[in-house]
Amino acid sequence: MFYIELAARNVFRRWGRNGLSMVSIVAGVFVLILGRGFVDGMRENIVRAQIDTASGHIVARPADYPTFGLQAPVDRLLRLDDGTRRWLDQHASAWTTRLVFVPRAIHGNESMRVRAFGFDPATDESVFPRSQWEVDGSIPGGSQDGVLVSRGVARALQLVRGDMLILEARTHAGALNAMSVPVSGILTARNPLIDNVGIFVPKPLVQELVRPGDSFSHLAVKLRDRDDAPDLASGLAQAMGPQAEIRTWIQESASLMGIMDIRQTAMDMLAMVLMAIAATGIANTVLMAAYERVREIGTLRAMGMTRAGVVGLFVTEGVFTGFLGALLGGLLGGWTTWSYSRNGIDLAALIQQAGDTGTYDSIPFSTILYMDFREPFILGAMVFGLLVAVLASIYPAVVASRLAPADAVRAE
Amino acid sequence: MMVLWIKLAIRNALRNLRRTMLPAATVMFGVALVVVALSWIEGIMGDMIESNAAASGHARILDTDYVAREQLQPLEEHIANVAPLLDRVRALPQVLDAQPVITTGVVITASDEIGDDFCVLQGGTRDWYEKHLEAPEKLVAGRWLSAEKGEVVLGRKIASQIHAGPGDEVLLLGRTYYGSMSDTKARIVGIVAGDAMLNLQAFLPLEEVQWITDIPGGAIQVLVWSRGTDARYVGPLVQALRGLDGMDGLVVQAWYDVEPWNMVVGMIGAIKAFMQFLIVFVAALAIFNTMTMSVLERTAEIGVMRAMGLTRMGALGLFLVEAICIGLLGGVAGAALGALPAWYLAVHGVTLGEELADTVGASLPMKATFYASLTPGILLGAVVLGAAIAVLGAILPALRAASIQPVVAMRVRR
Repeated sequence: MFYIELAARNVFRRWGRNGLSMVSIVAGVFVLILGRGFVDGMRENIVRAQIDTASGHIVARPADYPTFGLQAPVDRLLRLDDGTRRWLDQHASAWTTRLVFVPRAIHGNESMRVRAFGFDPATDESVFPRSQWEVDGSIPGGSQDGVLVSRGVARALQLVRGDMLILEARTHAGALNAMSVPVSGILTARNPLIDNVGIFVPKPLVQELVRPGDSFSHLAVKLRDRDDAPDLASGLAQAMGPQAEIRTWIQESASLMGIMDIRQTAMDMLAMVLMAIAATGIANTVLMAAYERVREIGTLRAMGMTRAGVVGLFVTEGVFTGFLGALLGGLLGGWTTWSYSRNGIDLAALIQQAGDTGTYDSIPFSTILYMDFREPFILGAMVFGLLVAVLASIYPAVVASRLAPADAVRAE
Repeated sequence: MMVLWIKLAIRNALRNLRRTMLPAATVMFGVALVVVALSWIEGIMGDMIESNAAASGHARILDTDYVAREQLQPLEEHIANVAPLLDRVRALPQVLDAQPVITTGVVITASDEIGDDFCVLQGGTRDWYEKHLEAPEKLVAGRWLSAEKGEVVLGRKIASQIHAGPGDEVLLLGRTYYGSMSDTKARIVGIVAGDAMLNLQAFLPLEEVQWITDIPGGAIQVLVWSRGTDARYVGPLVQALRGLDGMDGLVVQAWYDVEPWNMVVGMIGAIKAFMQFLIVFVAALAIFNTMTMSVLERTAEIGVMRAMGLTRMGALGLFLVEAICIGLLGGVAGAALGALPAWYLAVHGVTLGEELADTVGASLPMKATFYASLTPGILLGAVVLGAAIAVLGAILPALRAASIQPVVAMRVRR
């Protein structure tokens, strides 16, 4: 108690200097928390978007299916057989099939290739939730209802609800087919995979345009627990045979997770260097304090304080600074991540710009980023900051304790 | 004066070694991080900028209406007669070279049945392919286009998608600029592999793509390369191009005005600035601390020196130079410390995986492996940064030293 009192008094004696070295601890803890919150939030964002808009927990697609650019051939498709149905009845909590194709969308003189999601109006929503969707108009269901057009396509082709759109596509058999269909609504999904070049075509209409029969390009399965996906995937692979390639959400998002790992490393590194800077800063401050109070130390020693006592005194001083810094950094970082974990950061403007060139067309993620807020980690970061302060003040404290009492008193 | 400053500064810095080493270590850590981070960013960006400039030039000229709807590739907004424009552009002293290009999307088929495989078809001149894109050097099978007609070279990815190789015949189905379907047959003579963008393209001589699109003698855009090596400073080139005659209805864009570069360049700049600010700020605090202490400790000494004729500027300089010594010491040590991991990254790189490069690489020429680039400029910049940190941290204490009154200072008991 005596130490703490003395240390607190000493810290406030030179408040400016201690405040300054505290700032570096604040910065270190803050960046550590913010970096984790951001990267983990991004991870969860990608995983969610992957599951909720692209693949479900397990996806089956034709073997050899291209996964780059705007490519979605309809010549090799999948079918459901009894074995697969049995597997689905047994393991899936929900499933749906989609036929993805790439028609040319024509409106007036303008045309562009779009990614068409042929969806099953009855089951699609059970696998791919629409909670983020904003639809100006209605979601089509029958063959007469037309198509739902994403914001990006609507902007490029200058479409409004009710316009007629010509879709020109290859049929499953390879013939060229075209249809004029009404635009039932404009969709903002907050996901560049859909928003930039996507359109949604109900199954009955797909049947007329692409004539796939009962075949499809994607089977998306939701499980009761997403962590079961790796274990259950092999069962589905067995049921569907070599015609299909089975991928779990983990495999599908692995490459993007690679980028996240690099980001994580970069952020951690920045935080570590800030901590190292903070450590030297604190060591420096405590050392300064020791030199400044040589006489005082001498008096204390002469009055019977042991060396360990002097070490304790100065370490407590460093700890005090570190504690305040860690607390402030933790509060600041915790508050920032907490508020962004509730409100989210809207990346839409950023993505919008890149979207025009197709940078993100193939990457599913939500344009609203929610940071990851976890108390244990924030606490951990604060403890780490404190630990750095303790370790950093040991060396100068030992230096202080070595000052001989007589020399110290004579120092004036 | 300078020599005296430096002599005194070094003596003072050595007077209390511990106190000097700690802030120097602070600066060192900061500078080391800056070295690693900058060489990493420089490596990735430099690589992409370079491949981009090689492929797409330092600037481009194209129709204003084409730019407005570039996503739709409106072939009708082309440059009808490109030869006079090329002559005018090539006559400019800033211009190293200029080449016409037509880029269009086609359906590509190797079998009898026309399928659903799309690729980006490049129609370029021999010079563009050979000197700038350096495509012939990226061949993994077969040979490059000869002067003969009916030959095509494919990117690796697109070739494997349609299961075709050298010797196979392919049908390219595109459109004329007025929207009619238009096709051409060609024999694959070679396969190229490079960044993800290249892997997804097909290459024909310009004349044949002019024929497919029915734009004889025309082009979609003219790519321009500047004299001089650094792709980052092409402002004068762009100015000169804009000043040319007959540019009505045409627009000149530097590479960094073109999406997605306009966004990427800004974002990278922001990241760099944030990181440097953070490091400079925190490290300057340590210097400030030490120098404040130094000044307090030597108040009497300064008083004596001032009384002996040292000017205010002299006192200011004394402490600044001392701080710069510490900063330089930390800077050099930090550059050395940071150079190690940066060098490792430059040699070994980090492999992200082809899949990702393919996903993102449709619009950025991204490779599967990233390498850092450790340049002397970065190391030098880091050392200077160390000195800058020192000056920033020392300026307030040094000003305090300068404001010391000799009489008051000497009254302080030693």
